[in-house]
This record gives sequence, structure tokens and C-alpha cells, in this order.
Amino acid sequence: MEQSPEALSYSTEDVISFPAGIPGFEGAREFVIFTRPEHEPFHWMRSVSESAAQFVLINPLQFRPDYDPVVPSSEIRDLDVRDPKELLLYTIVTVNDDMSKSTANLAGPLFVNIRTRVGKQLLVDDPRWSTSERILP
Amino acid sequence: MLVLTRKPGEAIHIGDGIVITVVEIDAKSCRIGIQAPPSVPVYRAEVYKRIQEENRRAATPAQPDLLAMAELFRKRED
Repeated sequence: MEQSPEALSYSTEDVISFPAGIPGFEGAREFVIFTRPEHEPFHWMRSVSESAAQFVLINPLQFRPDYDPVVPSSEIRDLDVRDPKELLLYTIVTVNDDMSKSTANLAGPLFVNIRTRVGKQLLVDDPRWSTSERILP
Repeated sequence: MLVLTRKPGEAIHIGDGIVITVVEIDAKSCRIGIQAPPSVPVYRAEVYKRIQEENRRAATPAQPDLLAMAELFRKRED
């Protein structure tokens, strides 16, 4: 389904930069995350420059309340978090042709500091969290 | 590819802020220490590749029907 252009308009304050890029889309450093109440718990993230870099996101805690990846403190320090409320957590959804079989990549969570508007995809090297975890049972 | 021979405790500098040190070696593996600035992410190659492949699989050319997905998700909660 194509969105109307107005639905995907954004202002420069909405742009979130990923200085280290997103693995597989190293050229795309700036993204916008669109959140609409009727799409919750899903969000839509797209690169401002690379049309191929568009993703569906979900906060993994919405379907895995036990999600607690071990993240090196240095990685979080890089995000300059002053207040835990500044930190948003998402995972990238792989949408299956059969939507009910869609999965989320729990091995590569995205952390976004909404104050500095800087984000980062972290790589979690832990067998408990797979790259393709079913969202619906 | 540049190939250098190093002994345990010896290091290699790459550019300004990256230092690779051979910490320990045995017959089958070697432990490597890596110092790099925060802007340079360092990952085991196989972990990076897994994420890279999943990101490519997840990328969509246009916005999928998020309304339908959200509805499916809500039904699951009922």
C-alpha cells in the first residue's frame, strides 16, 4: 500500500542520524521514523536519501516483555543518554508475505536517543535472541 | 590483503585511532585486542553478516499495510 506523500512528509527536526550506518545499507545515515496511532505497535522508518532503506519497526517489548539484551555499556555511552526516558528501543521487522508470520530481528536492536536524535543498531551476540523471532504466536 | 606477522604482545596501528594487539595464540586460535574510537563499530564477522543479511531481507520497497498488521497484532492480544 502506497502512502500519500503528505503522510510521509517530515521536517528536519525529525531526522535521526545513524553515524555508524545500518549494516547492509552503509550509505544511509539519516532516517525518519513515522509513528501513527493506528499503526501501533508498528512504526515505519525510511532513509532520507536511499529509497531501498525502508523498514517496519516494532518495540520488541510489545511482544517479548522478557527482552533484555546484554549491551556493552560503551555502546550506550556513545548515545550520550542523560535520562533513560530519552532512549527508545526498536527492532526491525521482516514482513512475511503471510503477515502473521512476520518476524523481528532481536539480535540487532535499534537504540535511538530522542534528545540528540542519534541512533545506532547494536549487534547482540547471544543465542537467546535470534534475527528472526516470530511476532505473532 | 596486507598480511603481517606479529608475536603475542605486538600490535598494529591502523590510521589514527585503531590499535590491534595479538594477546594470546595457541595451535587453533588467537586472541586479539582491539582499540577503536566509538564511531568505529567492531564486531565478529559472522555476527555482522547475520545482521546485514536480515536487514537486507527486512528492507521493503514501499510501506506495507501497517493498518492490517496492527489489526493482526491487536487480535493476538484478545
